[in-house]
Amino acid sequence: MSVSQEVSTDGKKVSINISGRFDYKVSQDFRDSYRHVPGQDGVSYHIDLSDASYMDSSALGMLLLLREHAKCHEGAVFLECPSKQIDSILKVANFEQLFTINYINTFPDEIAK
Amino acid sequence: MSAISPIRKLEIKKDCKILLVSSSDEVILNIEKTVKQLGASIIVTNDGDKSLDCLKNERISYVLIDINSEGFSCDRLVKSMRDYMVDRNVPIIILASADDEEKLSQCVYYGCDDFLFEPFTSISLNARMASLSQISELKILYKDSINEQLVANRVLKNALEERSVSLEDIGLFKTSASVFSGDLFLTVRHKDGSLNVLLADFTGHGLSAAIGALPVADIFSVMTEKGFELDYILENINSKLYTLLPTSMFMACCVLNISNDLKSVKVWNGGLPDIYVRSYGTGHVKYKIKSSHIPLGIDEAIKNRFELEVVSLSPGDEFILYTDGLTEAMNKDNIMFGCNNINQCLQTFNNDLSIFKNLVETFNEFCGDTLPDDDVTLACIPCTLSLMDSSDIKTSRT
Repeated sequence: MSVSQEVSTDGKKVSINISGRFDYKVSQDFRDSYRHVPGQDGVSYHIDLSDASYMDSSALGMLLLLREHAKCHEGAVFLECPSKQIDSILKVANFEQLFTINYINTFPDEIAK
Repeated sequence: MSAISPIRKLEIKKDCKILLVSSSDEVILNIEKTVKQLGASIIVTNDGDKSLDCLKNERISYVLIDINSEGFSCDRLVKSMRDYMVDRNVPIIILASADDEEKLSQCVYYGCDDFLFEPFTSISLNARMASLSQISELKILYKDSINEQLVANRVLKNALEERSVSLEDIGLFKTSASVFSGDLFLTVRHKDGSLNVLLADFTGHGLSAAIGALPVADIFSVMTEKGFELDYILENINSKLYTLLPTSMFMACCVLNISNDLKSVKVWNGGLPDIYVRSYGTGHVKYKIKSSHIPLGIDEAIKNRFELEVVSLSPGDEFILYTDGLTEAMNKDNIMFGCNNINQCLQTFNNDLSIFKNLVETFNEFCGDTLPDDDVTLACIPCTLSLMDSSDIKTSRT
C-alpha cells in the first residue's frame, strides 16, 4: 500500500495515486498528499484508484475530509478508475452522490501507457 | 527542534529485592557485590523449590537464574515460576555465557524475559532490570486501561439495552474487534404497535466508534415511542450525528418499520450491505434491498434522502441484516467470508424455519480460530405473530 502524488506545472491539478489497501493505515500519507500543496484555491484533486485493491470505511472518511478541504478552497474532487471491488464499496456508500466518479482514465500519462 | 529532551534516568528502585538462584559461589559473589553497588537487597538460594517458596513469601522485584546451576533444570524452573506467577509481572533474567544458546532458547520458550551474558557488570545488570521495569509498568497500565474499558462498556451496554426491547424470536450474533463495538442494533416498539429496527455501523471500531451509539439510540427510541415517522427520525439522527462526529466519521445504517399486521415493511438502507428478505416455506430470497442512500452524519442536501421503500410481506418472511464485518471477515488463508457463503447457506438450508443458527455456524466454521478484525453483527428477524406481541419485556441486566 502506498500513496503517491503529483502536481501539474500550473499547480491546479493534483493527482493522488493509491495502490494496495486504501485503509486507516494510509490516513496520514493521504492527508499529507493534499494538505501541503501551495496555492490551494481552485485546485482539482484526482484520486486514482485503479491500483487500489481494497477500501475500508475510514478510507471513505478520508475522501470526505478531502472533499471538505476542496470545498473550503473552491476546488473539486474526482475519483478515477475504481477497480470493480473498490467501485462496489463506493456504490454501497452511494458516494457517487457526493463525488464525481470517472470510469475512463483521463490522465494523459496513463493514456500513453 | 532545538531543545534536547532530558535524558530519562535508567535505574532500578533502591528498595527492590532480587532473588538469585545459583549454585556457583563465583556467580553468587559477583552478583551480590553488583546488587549492593546498586543499593538493592538480595536473597540467594541454590535450590529450585526454595526459590519458589521465596517467590511466594517475599516481595521479589526481579529473579536472576544462573543457567549453569547444578541441582535443578533452568528451563523447568522458569516454567514453574511462570505457572506460579500467572497474574504477576516479576521479570526473570537468565545469567548465561555466550555458548549457552541452546539452553537459553528453552528458557525463552518457557517465558524468561531477558538474559545477561558474562561478565555480569553492574551497568549491564542495572540497564536490563530498569528496562524490564518499564515494560512491567506498561503492562500494568495496559491492564488497568482494559479493565476501565470493560466497566465503561458495561455501562454503555446497559444504557443501550434500556433503549431497546428484547424480542425472543430475533436471532442476534455480535462480535467486536476490541472491547467496544462500533455496531449498533436496536428494536423499538412504535406507538401504533409496529416495530422499528435499526442496524448501524460507525466508521472504524473501538471507543471512538462506540461513543456515537448512545445519542442515536436516544433519538431512535424516544421518537419511535412517541410515534414519529421513520423519515423524520432519520433526519434527526443525521443532523445530530453531523454535529457530533468529525468529518471523517459517519454511520452506515438500515432501518425497518415492520407493520403490526406483518403485511408490509418500510425500509431505508444507507451504506449497509443488501438486506435479504427470505421467504417462509421455500427459503428463497425474495428481495434484496440495496443501499440507495449515503450514510448518516454527512451534511448534504440530497433530494429524497430519507425516502423509504415499501415492500410487501407474507407471514413468516425473515429479514437478514448484517454489517460488512461479516462478509469481510477473513479465515486463516486470508479469504473473505463474502456473500457467496451466505447465499450458499441460504440454498442449503432452505427448509429451515430460520436461517440464523445455520448462518452463525457456517460463519464460525469458516473463520475457525481467526478473529475478525472488524465488528460483526448479524440479525435475523422472522416476521411471526409473536414479533408483534405487545407485552414487550425490556432486557434484564446481566
